Amino acid sequence: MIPRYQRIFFWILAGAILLMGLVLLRGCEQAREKLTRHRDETPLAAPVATASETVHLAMADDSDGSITVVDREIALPVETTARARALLARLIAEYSYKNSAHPIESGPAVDDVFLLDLPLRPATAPGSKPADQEQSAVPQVSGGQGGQLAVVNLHGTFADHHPSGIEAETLTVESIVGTLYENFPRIEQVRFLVDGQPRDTLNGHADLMRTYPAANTATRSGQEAR
Amino acid sequence: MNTSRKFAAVLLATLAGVGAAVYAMRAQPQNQISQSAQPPSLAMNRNLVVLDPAHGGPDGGAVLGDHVLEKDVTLAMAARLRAALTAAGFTVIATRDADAGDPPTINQRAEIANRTHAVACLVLHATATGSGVHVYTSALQAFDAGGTASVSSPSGFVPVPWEMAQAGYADESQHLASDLSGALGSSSLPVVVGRAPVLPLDNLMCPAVAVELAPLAISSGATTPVTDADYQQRVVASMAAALKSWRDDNAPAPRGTP
Repeated sequence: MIPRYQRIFFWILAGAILLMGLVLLRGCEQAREKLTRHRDETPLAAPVATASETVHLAMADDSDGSITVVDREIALPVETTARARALLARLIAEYSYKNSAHPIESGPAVDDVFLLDLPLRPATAPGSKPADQEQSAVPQVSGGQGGQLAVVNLHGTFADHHPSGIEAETLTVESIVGTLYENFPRIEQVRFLVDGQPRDTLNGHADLMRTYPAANTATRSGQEAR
Repeated sequence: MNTSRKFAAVLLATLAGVGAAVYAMRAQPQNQISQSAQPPSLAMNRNLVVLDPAHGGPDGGAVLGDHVLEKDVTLAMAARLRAALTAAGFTVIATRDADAGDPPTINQRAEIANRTHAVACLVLHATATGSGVHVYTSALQAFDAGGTASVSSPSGFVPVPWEMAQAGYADESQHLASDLSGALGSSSLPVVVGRAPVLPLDNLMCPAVAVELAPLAISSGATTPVTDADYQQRVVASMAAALKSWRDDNAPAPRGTP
């Protein structure tokens, strides 16, 4: 015969276990919600229906070192820098397809594209004299009035895993420059960053420290390639 | 009387010596300036070729297969090319002869080449993508006739920016690339010719090309790897023949020399 106080103690313990189980379950759910909320990449703004439009991609071919401009029908954002980023993302995505003529590993390639009006001038603090009246040490980047400098910020993983070689890296750079030139007439110059920092080369060969003039790379490569 | 004459002679000699020393000290800087103000000599050493096997040390370059690094392939190519060029009567200087732990930097490689006034500078690379041999020249354009890219000083000396050193040799480099691609094409090797933003090409003051060896695609679908000795020798033989022809056409031997 079990004493009464032991039965009461047993049921109290059983209730405590049940209560602790419920608290633990709730804690797990809350932690899961918190993690899911951080990973949620759905757009905050309501999607806007955008019509497809024709864009020009400067596509590279490793077999003969040529670049050919091809047309694609895609929907792009309205905002200019977002358009440039989406366009370059599409360009790199085409290279990750099977049987690509210029194979590149799939994955995020372009982090951001910044468009700056030329000529570049150092920023001035409110109340200070205009920069051009001061002996500023900040170098000015020349360029035509109305032109723009595009700064393409690449992902470090993209650069690290890019095929290494003069031809492969040069074609990727020229493909990006050519695509920007074909679709954004105001862009006159292109510079590259990797993870927000200047980097000597893409992956050991193509120089990323220079400013590339936006030009029709397709015509040039097509004429020179044999 | 004799003593005073001796004293006067010694005094005159001392004054003359001091005067000559002062004149020499004042004249020396002017001589130095006038010498350095001369435009750089364009005379080339017609029998000298500079080879730059790319990468080295901790910089392995591209991975070309299982345990095969680009730095080793470029070094092997340089060794083969050195032998072929020496047999053709060239003197060869390489920016690196072994895989040392502390290879020269890009700028040091250009400095080594620029001090030699070589008839040609070849930067050797290798890759796992593409097919055949890729021949690249600098992406810099040639200076125009007036040399507007440079600013001349009153003394006539025209400084050349380090980043644009190759611009003065752009046309010659194009001719060299054309000759190399022609010789490689004659050996039934696929060739891609173009311009590339690759250092140290822009810093070289000599006719300069970058030669990149890629796997050779065979019609049956197979490929010959860049490590294949026969393939490397075929490329090297074509390059040596092209360089010999290019030297004879562009830098003919002085009269009376064989």
